[in-house]
Amino acid sequence: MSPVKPSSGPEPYVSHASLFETAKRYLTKTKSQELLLRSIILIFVYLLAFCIRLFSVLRYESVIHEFDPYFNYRSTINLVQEGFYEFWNWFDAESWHPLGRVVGGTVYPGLMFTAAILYKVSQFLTACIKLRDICVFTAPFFAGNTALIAYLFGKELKDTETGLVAAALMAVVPGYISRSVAGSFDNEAVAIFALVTTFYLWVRAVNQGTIASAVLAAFAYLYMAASWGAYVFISNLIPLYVIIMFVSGRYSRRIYVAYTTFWAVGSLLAMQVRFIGFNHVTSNELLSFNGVFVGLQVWEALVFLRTKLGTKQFGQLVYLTAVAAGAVGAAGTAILVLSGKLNPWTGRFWTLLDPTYAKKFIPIVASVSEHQPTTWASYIFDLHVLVFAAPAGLYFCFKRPTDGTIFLTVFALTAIYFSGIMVRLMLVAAPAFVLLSAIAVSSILQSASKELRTPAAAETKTSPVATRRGRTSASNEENITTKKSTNLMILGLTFLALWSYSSHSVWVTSEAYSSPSIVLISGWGPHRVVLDDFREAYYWLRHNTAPDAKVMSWWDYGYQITAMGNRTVIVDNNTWNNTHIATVGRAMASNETEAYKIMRQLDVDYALVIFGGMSGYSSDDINKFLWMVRIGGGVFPVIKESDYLANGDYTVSSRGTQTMLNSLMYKLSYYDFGNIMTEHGKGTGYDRVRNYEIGKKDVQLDHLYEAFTSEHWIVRIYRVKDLENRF
Amino acid sequence: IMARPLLLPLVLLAALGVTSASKSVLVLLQNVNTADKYSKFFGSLRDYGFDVSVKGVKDSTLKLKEYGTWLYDDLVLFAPQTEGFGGKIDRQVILDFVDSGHNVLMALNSDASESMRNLAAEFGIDVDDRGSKVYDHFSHATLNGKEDHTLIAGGNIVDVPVMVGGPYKEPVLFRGIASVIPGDAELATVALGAPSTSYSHAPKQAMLEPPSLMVGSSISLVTAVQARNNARVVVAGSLEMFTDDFFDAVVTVNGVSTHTANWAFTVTLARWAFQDRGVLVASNMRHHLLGSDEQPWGYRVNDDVEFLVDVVEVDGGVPKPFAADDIQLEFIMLNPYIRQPLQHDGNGTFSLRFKVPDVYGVFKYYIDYAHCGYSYIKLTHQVPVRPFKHNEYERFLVCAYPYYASAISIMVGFFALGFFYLYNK
Repeated sequence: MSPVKPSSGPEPYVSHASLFETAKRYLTKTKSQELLLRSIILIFVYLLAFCIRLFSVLRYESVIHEFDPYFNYRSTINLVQEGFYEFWNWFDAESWHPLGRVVGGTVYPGLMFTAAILYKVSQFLTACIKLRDICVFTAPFFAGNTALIAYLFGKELKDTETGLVAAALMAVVPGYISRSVAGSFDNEAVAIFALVTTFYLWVRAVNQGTIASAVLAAFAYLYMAASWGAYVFISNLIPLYVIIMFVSGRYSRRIYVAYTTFWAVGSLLAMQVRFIGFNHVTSNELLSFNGVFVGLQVWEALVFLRTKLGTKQFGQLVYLTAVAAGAVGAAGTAILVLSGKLNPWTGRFWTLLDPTYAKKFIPIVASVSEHQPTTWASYIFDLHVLVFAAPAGLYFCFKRPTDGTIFLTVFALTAIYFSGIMVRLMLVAAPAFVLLSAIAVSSILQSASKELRTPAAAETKTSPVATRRGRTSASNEENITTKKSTNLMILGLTFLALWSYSSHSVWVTSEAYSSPSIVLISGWGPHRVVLDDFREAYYWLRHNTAPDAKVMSWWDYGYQITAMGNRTVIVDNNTWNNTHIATVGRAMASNETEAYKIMRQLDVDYALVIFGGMSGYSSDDINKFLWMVRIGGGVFPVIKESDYLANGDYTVSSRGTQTMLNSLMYKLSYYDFGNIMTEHGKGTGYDRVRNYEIGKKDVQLDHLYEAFTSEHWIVRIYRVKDLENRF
Repeated sequence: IMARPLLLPLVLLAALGVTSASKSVLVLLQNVNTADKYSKFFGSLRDYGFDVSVKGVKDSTLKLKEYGTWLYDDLVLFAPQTEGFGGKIDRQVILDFVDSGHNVLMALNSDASESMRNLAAEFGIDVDDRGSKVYDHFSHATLNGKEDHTLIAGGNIVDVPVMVGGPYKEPVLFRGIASVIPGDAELATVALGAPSTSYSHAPKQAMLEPPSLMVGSSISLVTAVQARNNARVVVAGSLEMFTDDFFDAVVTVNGVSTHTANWAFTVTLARWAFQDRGVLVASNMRHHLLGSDEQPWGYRVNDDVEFLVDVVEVDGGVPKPFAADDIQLEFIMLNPYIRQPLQHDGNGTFSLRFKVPDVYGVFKYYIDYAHCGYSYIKLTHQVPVRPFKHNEYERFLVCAYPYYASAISIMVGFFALGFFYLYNK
């Protein structure tokens, strides 16, 4: 019964010496050496992917970044505290006052679930990690996972070497790092992983043609659908791929099995996400996904019937079917369009085809900087050498096309198109560029190093060609040495390119993508100034205002106020109700008396503005003000953009219009600023962002009073007064 | 929990009892020696339990506030000609006094000083120029055999018994200055309006051409203002109307000899001004789902709910149940979705049962009761209304039976066909 055995007798364990022997025997095999090397490379890639994203934590602190992540963080807290079902049913009464927001039904919960599960697992393992730290490090963690998936994808597309290159390139591609540094707790952090995984598993399913592999791809699709609205990209790309394969005559039964299974299981799974629900069947954004499924069934039925019927009968059948299908299809479309169920002419649809559509007609879409069209510079900035390597990869894909590389080509071409429309979609293009470049780089490296490593083999290989062409052996030898130096040069150039790529990535990450934007740092060394005004102001709200106080600000700051200030906001970054945002825009653009009426109707207790004139912080509300005017004017025609432009010029200097200088936004921004000397040698009220003196220095407030102004005047909060007691 | 409904009125009573016992009134006279002229007025106030202290307006020991505490509840200004105050009183102190919920009764006359005029203007009342008087060549009174066209006897007493008492058979005598209330004044009520045949005129000043006079019923003789914090201010254009002489006068109006209603009118109005009449106290606001006593955090759309609130009217320090059919409850999200009068049960409990609209959002209960003569009731209470939870929808709808049938039949059909295809070779 005793568990402790006496040490006498034959010992079951292997001695150190024999263990060493086994390891040595094992390691002398080439295959296992390669495996070990590969594992080490992958571990380093994983660590690199994780660590390169930690600049922000090291330089600032472990803090959630930007705007949207604050909502995700707050939701995750709710999920962890209230549990799954309460989160699913969450009606948030603290945002969009007084409309409220059905968060449970309007959110992609994948990110929150991921973080909550990671948190629960760490709790279970008795690792006391704060939820905030889990959220901060989710993105780097998933970046490592994405690099591993890139390895598998590359392996599936071509070979192991391609996989390794893809993993390494993916780990540091700046286009992806931009949305996955530590603290960037946004949907994209896990969604890119889900996207690449879905594509990898889809290619694998097409290659294998089994139901099991397609079901696996469908589950990856569920994760994507639960995480990010760009799941529509997948469910349009895959049908497009199927159509291309069909047209190019590469359609096979494997694709049929993969697509049918993926469609059935994937649709059912995606419909379980509350935000998607029946949209997955009814939405015209997914028309091709469902249409291709029906088309495949019809095709297979026809193929089946042809084997059973005579040629003449079959011809008649095809004719009848085509006519019937055409009639039913036309009638159905007509009914749907007339009844309003099918409306393809929405703004979103046009935006994809015509990149300038949103800018012209939907100000709220155009006002978001990440919705702007991409410039060429940002391709170089975000992809660097991949921009040049990817076309080479396309060449290799076309040279030896397989089902997988055709998919990659389709993916890459569509992703490049979309990334040109919106800066944000650079994120989707980055994996495509990485994979194409990996194919290019590994192909070049393979061919170059193979010939370099085995000159004898190269000789034997080349000699028949040489003799056929009637060359002498002397020129043959010379040929070999030239080839050798050419190959060396190719290798050197490749390494140089890769080296510059990696140093560029590190530089970009460190310089451009690691700022949390909630804490600002300007200057270096002894001149370093930390502007922590946002948190200062939000914590002031949290500790000094009534718990049910309502704060009105432009929607950009809504998530931060609710998450950090714990106060109700009128509008926030989930811009689901344009009218409500326009109402706030109207209040900001009106004169104080008009604004007061609006604010009273909305129960506003505090008005918050971001002001950069003192500190030089340029993305302040005065610079965003024209968007408020446009969005407000889009719904309420009393607000006219021309009233705010002095001779077509947007200015708050003395040339500014009276409407501008009397607007609530101007008053709240510049209240008391007219007495302040900001720069030596300039007059009072010198705006350091706009670089001129403001137009109206004596700002009087009647219906509000200043409640709080942060240290560098970046955040200014005003209390809305009650009605006068005696009038 | 059973004791709570009982306990609350008791506590309320106790609180009111304490405040009513210590209702102290400071009266400032132009000349403290003339107090006897108003002895009946002050006597009546004392009879109603007010602690009246009379001082001269230039008394150097005057103060309303000491160490942050208000020393008086009410202020009577019977010093129309004074330009300033003695001691630590000035205009701003009086305004702060009102803004912190205390009451002011001020009486003016034709020689009202600039500072008094400005004070009245702070309450939204425009008093006519210095030296002007209200004339009426038709409905004036003859006092002691002397016909006086500035002794107005036909004033229109506002039909709000809670504020001025009445109805009165006798006229209220008035001799003094006119004032007007701007059209957009929301808080002022004309307690005594001028007859339609009257006008205001300064006999020693040159008449403007064309004459711009305060004329007829646009003139307010006595104005009652209730500020948004329920502080009350009464501005009377005549100081004389508070005197014993006017109280006891027997006058002839249009040939008919009559007593005056000044005593009852002024004392009732003063009691109203000093929060002794027409004070409503709303308390114990509560709401719940029908069939449950618990007050929830919020509702679901289409819930049936009941809202209740207790309102008592405090008269002379004694609370009694209030009864009115015009208290409205609104259920607002941006716009009122429900606006219904509350039902009362006779014991001061007002209630309304209604169905929550089929709209989710952050609603608020809102009562804004501003009945003339009564203190305002303004209550807001926020309740979120949430949509159905995902598991609150009905399962197995009758209208969906065809879909269930089609789903089940296709499963059966698939199974049967598969079985047939596989095993029937």
